[in-house]
Amino acid sequence: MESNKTYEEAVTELEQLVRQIEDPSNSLTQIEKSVAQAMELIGFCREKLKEYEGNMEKLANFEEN
Amino acid sequence: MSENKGINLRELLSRIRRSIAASFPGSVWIKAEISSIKTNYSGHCYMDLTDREDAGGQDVPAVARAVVWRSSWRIISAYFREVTGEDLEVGMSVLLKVQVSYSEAYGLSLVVNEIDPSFTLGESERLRLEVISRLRSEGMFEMNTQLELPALPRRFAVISSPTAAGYRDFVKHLSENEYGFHFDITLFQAPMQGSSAPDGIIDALDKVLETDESSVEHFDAVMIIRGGGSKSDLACFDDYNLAVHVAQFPLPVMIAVGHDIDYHVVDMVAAVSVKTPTAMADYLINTVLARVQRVAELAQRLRNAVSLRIRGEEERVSRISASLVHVVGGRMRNESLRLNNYRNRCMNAMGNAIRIQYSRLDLLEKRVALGNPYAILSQGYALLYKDDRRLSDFSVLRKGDEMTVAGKNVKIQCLVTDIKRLDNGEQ
Repeated sequence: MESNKTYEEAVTELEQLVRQIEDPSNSLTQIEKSVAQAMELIGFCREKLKEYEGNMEKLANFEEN
Repeated sequence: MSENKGINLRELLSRIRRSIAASFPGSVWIKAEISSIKTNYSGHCYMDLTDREDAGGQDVPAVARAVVWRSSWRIISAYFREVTGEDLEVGMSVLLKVQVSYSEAYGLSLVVNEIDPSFTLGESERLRLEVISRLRSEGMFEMNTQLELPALPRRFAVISSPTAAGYRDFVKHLSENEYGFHFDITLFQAPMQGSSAPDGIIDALDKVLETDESSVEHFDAVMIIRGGGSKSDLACFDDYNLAVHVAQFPLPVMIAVGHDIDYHVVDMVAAVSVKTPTAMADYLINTVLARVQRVAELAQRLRNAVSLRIRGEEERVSRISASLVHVVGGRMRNESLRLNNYRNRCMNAMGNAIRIQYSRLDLLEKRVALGNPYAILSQGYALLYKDDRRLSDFSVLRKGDEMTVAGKNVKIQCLVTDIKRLDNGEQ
């Protein structure tokens, strides 16, 4: 997975995957693949959010110093 | 001309002598002015007496010789000095008790037995008052007294006699002053006693004026200084001509003629008058000292005023700076609060945005979990496929169709043998 993907790109992709997963017309194989991708994207997005939180804290500390 | 005519000179003079002796058997008091006086080696005093008073339209003065024998002279001269403070001098008016005497060899002479000094005292006072009132009526009396010494008098023309003790005292006292003040003294010599003194001093005053006018650096004042010594001769300082010259002199005239009983016309018309030369030196030193002290005092006042002002300004500046600090501090606190507010809003907004994204991810994750058919299979459910497509609408199935049942870890090929439709709620 490309690590230079932005959070927004990742979430947009994630939403497409979820729609695919929810579409009964898709094959099981396809779904299985999508689920794996979706889980990976969720992890990536959570990492990104954690990163944002960390940056925010750094900024708050910097301002206090 | 025959021998019978005329008498011998001796006979004539003898008659005159007898006639005079008969006319003046006793002593007579007379008033006269001394026109010359001298004491000879033997101690007798010889005088020429004159009377300038106009008598009967005659301008020619009356004159006579007078003598005071040594025995009388010692008493008379001492008594006269004791009463008047002066010696008998040329120009004095005197009241004398005389014996008229005539000799064929020496002519007429007046032998003085007594002198009344109180007459001379009164006479000289009268003369002095006359001189004063004349100077006043001529508007000259206060002319020189209105001149002021410069603030720091330094350069002086001194009229004196270089050999006089008073002059030497003056120079010594002035040059050895304890403050180290420096004075420039230019000496103009003049006789300081006797009848020639007034004219001599007037000549010296003229020379001072010439020097002053031709010199680059001018005199601050002229002094007339006369040493102590004899108290005689002081009458010259009541001289009208000398007083006029002093009064009209363009520079301040300073007088120290070394007397302490009397006060003379010249003292009155001069800008400054002190008793002795030493007192004159003190006067100059004190004048300069007073100025120097005044300047020092002003300098001190200036320093005080300036430092007071500086302290005031310093206090003002520190007050202003304190209030600035206060104002700026307040402003800074306000700004800080404002920034904090912004920061908090930023942080809150960011936190909110992040939380929203977390929720969104949670939702998506749930949907993934719900949409993942394998999650259902692991709970014992199965999925139906027909022609490799997952069935979500079973109404398409017909009896005899083939389909696949997918369970956990299993795929079962099935044949539809019967289809029973159920009403809602029935299982």
